[in-house]
Amino acid sequence: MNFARLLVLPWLAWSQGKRRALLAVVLAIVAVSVIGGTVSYRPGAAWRLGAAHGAAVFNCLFWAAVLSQLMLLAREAHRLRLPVLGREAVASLALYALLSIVMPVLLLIWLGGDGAVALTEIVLGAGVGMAYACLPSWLGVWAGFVPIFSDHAARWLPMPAASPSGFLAWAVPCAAAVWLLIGAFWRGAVRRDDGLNRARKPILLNLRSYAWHGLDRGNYPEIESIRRRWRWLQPVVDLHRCGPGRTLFNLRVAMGGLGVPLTPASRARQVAVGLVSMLPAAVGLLLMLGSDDDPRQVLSGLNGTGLTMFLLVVIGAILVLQPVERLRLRWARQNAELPLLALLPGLGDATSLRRALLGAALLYPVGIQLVLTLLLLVLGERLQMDAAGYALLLLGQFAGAGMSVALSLAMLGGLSIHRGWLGVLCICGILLIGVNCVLALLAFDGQSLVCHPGVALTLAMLWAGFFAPLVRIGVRGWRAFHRRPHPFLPNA
Amino acid sequence: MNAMLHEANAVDVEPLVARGLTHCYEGSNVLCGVDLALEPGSVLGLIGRNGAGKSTLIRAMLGLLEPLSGVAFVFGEPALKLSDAVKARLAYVPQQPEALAWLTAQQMLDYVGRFYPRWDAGFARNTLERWKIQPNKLLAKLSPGERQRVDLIRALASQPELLVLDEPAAALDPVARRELLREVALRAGESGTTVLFSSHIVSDLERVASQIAFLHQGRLLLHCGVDEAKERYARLWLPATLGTAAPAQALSRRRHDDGSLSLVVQRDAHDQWPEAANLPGARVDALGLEDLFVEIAE
Repeated sequence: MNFARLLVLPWLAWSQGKRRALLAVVLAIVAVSVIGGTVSYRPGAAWRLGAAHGAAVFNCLFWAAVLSQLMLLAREAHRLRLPVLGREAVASLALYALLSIVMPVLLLIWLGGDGAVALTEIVLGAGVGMAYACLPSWLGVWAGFVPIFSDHAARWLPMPAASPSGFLAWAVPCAAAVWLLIGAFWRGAVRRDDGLNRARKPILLNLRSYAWHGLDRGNYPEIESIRRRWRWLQPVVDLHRCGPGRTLFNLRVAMGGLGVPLTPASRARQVAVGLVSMLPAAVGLLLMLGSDDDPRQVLSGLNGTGLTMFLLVVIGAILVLQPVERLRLRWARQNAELPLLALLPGLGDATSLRRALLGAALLYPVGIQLVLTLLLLVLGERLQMDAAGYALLLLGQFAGAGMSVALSLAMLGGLSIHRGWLGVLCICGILLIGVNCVLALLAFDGQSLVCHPGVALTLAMLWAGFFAPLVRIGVRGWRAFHRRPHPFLPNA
Repeated sequence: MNAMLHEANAVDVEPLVARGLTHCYEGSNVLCGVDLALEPGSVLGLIGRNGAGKSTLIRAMLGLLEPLSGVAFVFGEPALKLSDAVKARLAYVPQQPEALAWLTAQQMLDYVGRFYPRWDAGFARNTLERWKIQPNKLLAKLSPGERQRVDLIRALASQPELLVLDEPAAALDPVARRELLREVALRAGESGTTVLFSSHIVSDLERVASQIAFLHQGRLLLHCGVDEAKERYARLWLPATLGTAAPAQALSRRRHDDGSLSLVVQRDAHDQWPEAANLPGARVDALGLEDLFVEIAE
């Protein structure tokens, strides 16, 4: 057990290329932080509090992304009966705790900071990161809402800047509870040789299971998610209206996903579960909506309602891509729904079948965009947006729906588009939709920012640059879709 | 004109026909101009090594992929544009079926059954029970063998005139495999169902197939009756000294370390082995199906 080996251990979870890239990112962040911190150093409590907060955020990300991998190593060591390796994993964790937590705290103490407060904040940050990776998804997902919570918690809870002792009073028990939970689930994940049940399986293990199946992982995640569901949570498909002549309905059943028709009871159960699982998000949104009267805001529109709208727009743009991915996976599998549908009699003539297939594929993403658009219009009314703002919002929503339609057509038509290029297009689309929303929200002295000619021209050029390939993909997909002898041919 | 009419009639009566099917994946040929036709009521066992192109051939013949060239017909209709009437007459079970994982076994059979005019719901129910598959269990939660059995039930309950099974026994235990073969033989014998199935298990082929087709590296090396294959093909062994006398036409040719030669040869039109078989020192060994497969495929 030597120092260098313990240092390397968490990084062994990745291939050499990924390891180098991740290491470069971590080192770059550390270097920028150190240089930035040195340049901006001013003796005083504010700098020390900022530094402690920065270290906590860094530790949160570092422990979630890198050090949590030691749990996988410890688990494998236990399963392969390699006790030395298991001990090394724990020792490596301790070494990194020393380097990433204790050393920054000592530095802050040396600079005159409050050691207890800094230690608690950084330990809490690392704990949140570790909790995300090592706790089961139903618990770990809460870690994702910590940034929103920490932005607004100052209203109810004492923070280090205002009351160090008050902060310690609630943060120390919280940190202890989080680390106890992590310890319990770590132990469970490492010691259980057989499959962990769904309520105890850490997110990290799920991610690793998916990673083993690669990028083209077929239907593994979908089947795995169905398998892991509790019996009472399983969706009950409504087959009453299936049969010849009900092509759209038949296809919705056959294509799976969120568009599957469910029985009323099952639908109610799913909605209830969805609402409960969205509770943290709803709390976060309410917190943001409640911050509208913050006097520190300089730009009108950059408040709680605006941030809520921005999040809805971006999440909507990401959500509409999910059915496209589902279509890609469906049309890549040769032994699943495609042969069944291709040889199923009674699905109607070619024209109506194609129309129904498009309907089944686009019903959910376009429906989501419509619901989100209505929500955005209501929130826009709250902000008293002008016509230009509304136009931009609608343009963004239209682009989201357009992206879904064009890419769905490409999948159904069997266009071969390079995955990298497709990824770039989607990321550009999401970024552009986000920027578009920000511009719709921002206003100086009551005048929308997009009314400035330079901004409007730049935005128009960006949209043109995005829509040109998208329309081309859509048109090519449409043609290929109609050129196919039948729509259930798998993509090569 | 007569020839064309004759050809059209032939296509009409044959449940499954492939002509010159060619296909490739990522630049390598998987099918090289395959011609194959199934006679009505026959049970054709398609055999070949992994990657020989069996599944691709089956899928191309059923219109489940668009071949690079060649055509396939199912009951006289182009495979890529089948009518509902023809679809109702055929059933296909893919290798390791994974369809509709979000439905229970019973739901899947209910759903599919609505589309087939001759659906035998009683058979589906009874067979689920006989094969001890929980009807209310989600397909995603069934083992691969159970899923394969549910898909077989789905195919058989539609009472097809043409049954196409791609490695149907791959995930089945010996008991289930025996039951499946019995069912296939029963369907073929009593209802005149035409069956095409691919398999690695030669004993399964011998048990139920009336015809066999060997597919090797995308080419159909032989297609004949099972008994005919045993009588028509044999291994000709020639000592090293007779190597030059080896016939040019052979299904496979293998030289041993001692210089001797093994060839798979077939009888000619007059039912005679090649001349080299009569040379002193030459030996002709009868081959079982499995030996024949191994000799050709090795």
